Amino acid sequence: MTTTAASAGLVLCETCEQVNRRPEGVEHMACPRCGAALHPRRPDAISRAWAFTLAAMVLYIPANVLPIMHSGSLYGMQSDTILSGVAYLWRTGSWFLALIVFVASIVVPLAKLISLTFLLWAAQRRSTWNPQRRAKLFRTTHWIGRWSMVDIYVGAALVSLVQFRALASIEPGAGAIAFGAVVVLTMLATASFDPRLIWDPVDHQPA
Amino acid sequence: MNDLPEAVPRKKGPRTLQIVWFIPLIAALIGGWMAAKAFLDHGPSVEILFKSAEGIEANKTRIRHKSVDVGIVKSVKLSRDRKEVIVTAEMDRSVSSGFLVEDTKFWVVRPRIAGGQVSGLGTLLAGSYIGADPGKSSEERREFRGLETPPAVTADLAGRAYIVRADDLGSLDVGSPVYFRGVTAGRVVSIVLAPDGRHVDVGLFIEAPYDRWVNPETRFWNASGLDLSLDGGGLKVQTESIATLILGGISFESRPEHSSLPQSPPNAGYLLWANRAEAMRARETVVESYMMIFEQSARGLAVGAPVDFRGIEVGEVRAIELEFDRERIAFKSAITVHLYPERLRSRTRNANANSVWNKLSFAERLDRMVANGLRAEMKASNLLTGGQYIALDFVKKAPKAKIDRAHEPPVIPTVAGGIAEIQESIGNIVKKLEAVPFDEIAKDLRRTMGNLDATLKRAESLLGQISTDVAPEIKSTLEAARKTLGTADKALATDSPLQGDLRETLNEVTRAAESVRSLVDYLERHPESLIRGKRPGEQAK
Repeated sequence: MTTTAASAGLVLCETCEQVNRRPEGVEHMACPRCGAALHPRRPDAISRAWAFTLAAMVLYIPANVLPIMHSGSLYGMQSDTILSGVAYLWRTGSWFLALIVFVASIVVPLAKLISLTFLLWAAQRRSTWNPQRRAKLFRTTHWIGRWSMVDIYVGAALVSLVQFRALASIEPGAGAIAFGAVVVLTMLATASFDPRLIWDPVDHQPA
Repeated sequence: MNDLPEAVPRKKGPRTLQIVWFIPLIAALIGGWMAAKAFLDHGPSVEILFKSAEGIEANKTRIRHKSVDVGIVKSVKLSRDRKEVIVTAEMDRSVSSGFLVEDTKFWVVRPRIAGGQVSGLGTLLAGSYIGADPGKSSEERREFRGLETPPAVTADLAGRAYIVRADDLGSLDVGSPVYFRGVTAGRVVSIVLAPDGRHVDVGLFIEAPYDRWVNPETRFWNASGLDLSLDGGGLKVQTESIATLILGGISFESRPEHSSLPQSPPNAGYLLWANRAEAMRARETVVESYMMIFEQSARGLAVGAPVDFRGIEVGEVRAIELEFDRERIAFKSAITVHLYPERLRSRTRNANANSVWNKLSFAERLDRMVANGLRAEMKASNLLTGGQYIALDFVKKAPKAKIDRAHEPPVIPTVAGGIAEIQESIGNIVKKLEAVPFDEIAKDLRRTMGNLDATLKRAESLLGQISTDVAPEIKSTLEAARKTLGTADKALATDSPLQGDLRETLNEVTRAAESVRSLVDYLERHPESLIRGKRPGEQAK
């Protein structure tokens, strides 16, 4: 039996790091030193994470279907989605770049969504299955999140740099906004998830 | 453990649960809206048939109306019979209603240099696009046949279309300008050969506000090229503008008296005249038919040849036929003419509206004129080509004649003219020659000749006598005369003694005269000397 703060009747202030005793029968507590709200687990962690994940899932569809970029030149306007961009890179021989874009823009967000869904589902069911692996999965998800923004950075740089009026111009498409939203929402979901929830069922399982 | 501070109770915080669930709701709304928009933006798709897909690319070529994108080409395929190209395009939702109707036109805009206009230069770099011009019909349609050339006018252009009928197209083409007093007022929009192949119907579009000047009496003429004329006034060159020299063009104008007529309805038909002079000529409103029968050949007389009265065209030849005269068993030329009474109107200086002449009808006037000797005559208008025209003129000593009004059309009496006239004159001369008594003249002549012969013989004998008797006498006389003249010549020579004597004698006479003069002078001064004699010591001067 592992001793956790919660099982010991203690609660840590996440703001001033003071460890406090948890009074009996009190639902909402505050830190006596700094006055911040105290709670043994992040409140509504699962439902918040679910909300963000679902929103990200919904926006993942337009992010991939709608054009992410409109590039106009003397030869006319052209609209590209993420996939058509990858296909273009692949066709023109830039396989490595195509791979990076494919992984960063399609695989990673998808993987994040899947892993978040799995973690949330498992935590909600109070699953005791393989908590170490699930904890590792959560860390990976958290760490990998920032890489998905590569596309958005490239797009933002191009839009601001390539503005030669009639000669060439690049404008962001609706897909870029949706894609950015997906990335931000998955990061928020990861942030609002409390990894301690992975371990709670393990502690409370009947011995 | 117990020395740890105890957390203090806190009021219930905000209900964060409900707020956080707004996020997926908003995301769903945004996603749903995007999906709906994408779905709704899918406008109707159309199929356009083109002869060639040059410059058309799937997913790149746009359909534009007034330079606004209204659609995009989705696929380019060959038709089943491989004769045409089927271009499938997706139109924007925004233009679907009322845009894709029966008379909507599509054409490929490529760089084009034709008819003095350069268009579609932008497509050189940006690639071709498909131009669209929505029609006015209310019948929806999804399949169209693309035009090979851009339409000259777009449907929303204000103005009216008219049709002019031309015998020959000349240098006109679709897009050729239409001028009104030198202002470009419209364009040729269509050229259709009539089904019977006899003329060409040229469709014009006159833009507002110039269409207001097209009325039922407006004349259109072909302004293409140069109108050169050489006449008494010199060489005249007329052209609308230099551009029409190359491009061709049509001009229109109304005669001043017709300029206030109401505007013609659209698609009214007109004739296309060859030039301005012909177009603007006054049209005859009153036409009367007459016939003239000539016994001479009508060779050189053509339908349309003028009927001339003292140099003024008063009509034209409408038909030339052959007529058989049973009584005289001869062929005659029956010429039908149209006379324009208004042109034969006489302008009298002291115009008296009530005069008898002015009250007469044209027929009555013509009757009177014929009674006074007016006759029709065929005359050569051009000796080189042998062209002929009909002249009406008063013929002196013409045999009495009148217009045969029993015939339809009435027949105007004629006199033989031209070659026939000359023939007749020669005939007259021959007749007179025939009247000369050449036989008697010959007899007399012969008698006279006999007498002359005898006279000559006598003269000859006389001359013989002269040569034998008179000639020697004359000869000796002449010799004597020559001798005398020789003597005279010698006597008169400068070195002859006669001359020397004469000179001396004359010197003496001169001296004697001087002496006499001095004597006279002296006597004038000293008249007394006549009595007393000369005084000593006094010189005579």
